[in-house]
Amino acid sequence: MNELQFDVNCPHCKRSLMDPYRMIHNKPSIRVNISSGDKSGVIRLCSIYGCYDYLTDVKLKNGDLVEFTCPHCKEILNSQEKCSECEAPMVNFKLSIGGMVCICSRSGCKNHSVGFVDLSSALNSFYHQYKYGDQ
Amino acid sequence: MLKIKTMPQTITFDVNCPECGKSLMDAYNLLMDKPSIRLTIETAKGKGTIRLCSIYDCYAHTSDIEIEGGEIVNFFCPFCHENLNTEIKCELCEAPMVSFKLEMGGKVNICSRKGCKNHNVNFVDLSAALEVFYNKFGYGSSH
Repeated sequence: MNELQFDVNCPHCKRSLMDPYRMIHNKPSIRVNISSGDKSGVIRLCSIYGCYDYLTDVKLKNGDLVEFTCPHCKEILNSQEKCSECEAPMVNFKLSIGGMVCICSRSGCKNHSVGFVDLSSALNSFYHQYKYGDQ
Repeated sequence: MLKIKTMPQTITFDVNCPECGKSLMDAYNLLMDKPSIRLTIETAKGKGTIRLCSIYDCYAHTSDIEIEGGEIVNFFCPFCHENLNTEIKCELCEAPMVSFKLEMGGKVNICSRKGCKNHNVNFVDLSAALEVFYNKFGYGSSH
């Protein structure tokens, strides 16, 4: 299977969250601000779907709840949707191809999903952008 | 060799109850020539049965009970009778979203308000879902 890498935007201000200057696994990382308890800083997430690697200047322990904010408009990215595995708020990112990627805001929880409204357009993007279906 | 990507005419989903896992598909009552999705509903007029079209993006349905425009409907599994309306609010109208489990993995969410067309489809294992689209619906097939 092809590797799926997503470019994401802030769901509020729509600006790109991609950081081409800090790569993770040779792909631009997703840069957002975070806070947990009295700590705050920057996290860079791997943009490959299904990869949980990240870099951060904040010390996080497994189980910590993390609040994600857009580095541009400062809006909170944690949503009202609760994680089906641990009840923490899910964090939403807007996909540049259309749709949303959701990750759990609890450090160590690997729950995540990708959602689409216009499924046909999303599938078209996968074929053309990621060359799915090529033999 | 030049490969031409073909688009399927329709994408149909088989759905299960997210609580008991039983199939909600009704092969005996077709909508748009496809098995419908059968659910129990509760409206201001009482309880009844609704059948939804299983084609993604199709809003056709039949119901044996009147549903007023704008009314929020409670959806129940006809087998375990669990309420399928969730705590997730529709981003268009704030009504609860209704969630169904996809047979192929993932879930489909629709708005519970009559007339609101908000809906989406979610996958956890996206690679597996894409494989199904290629194999079942012919996405990406070359000629």
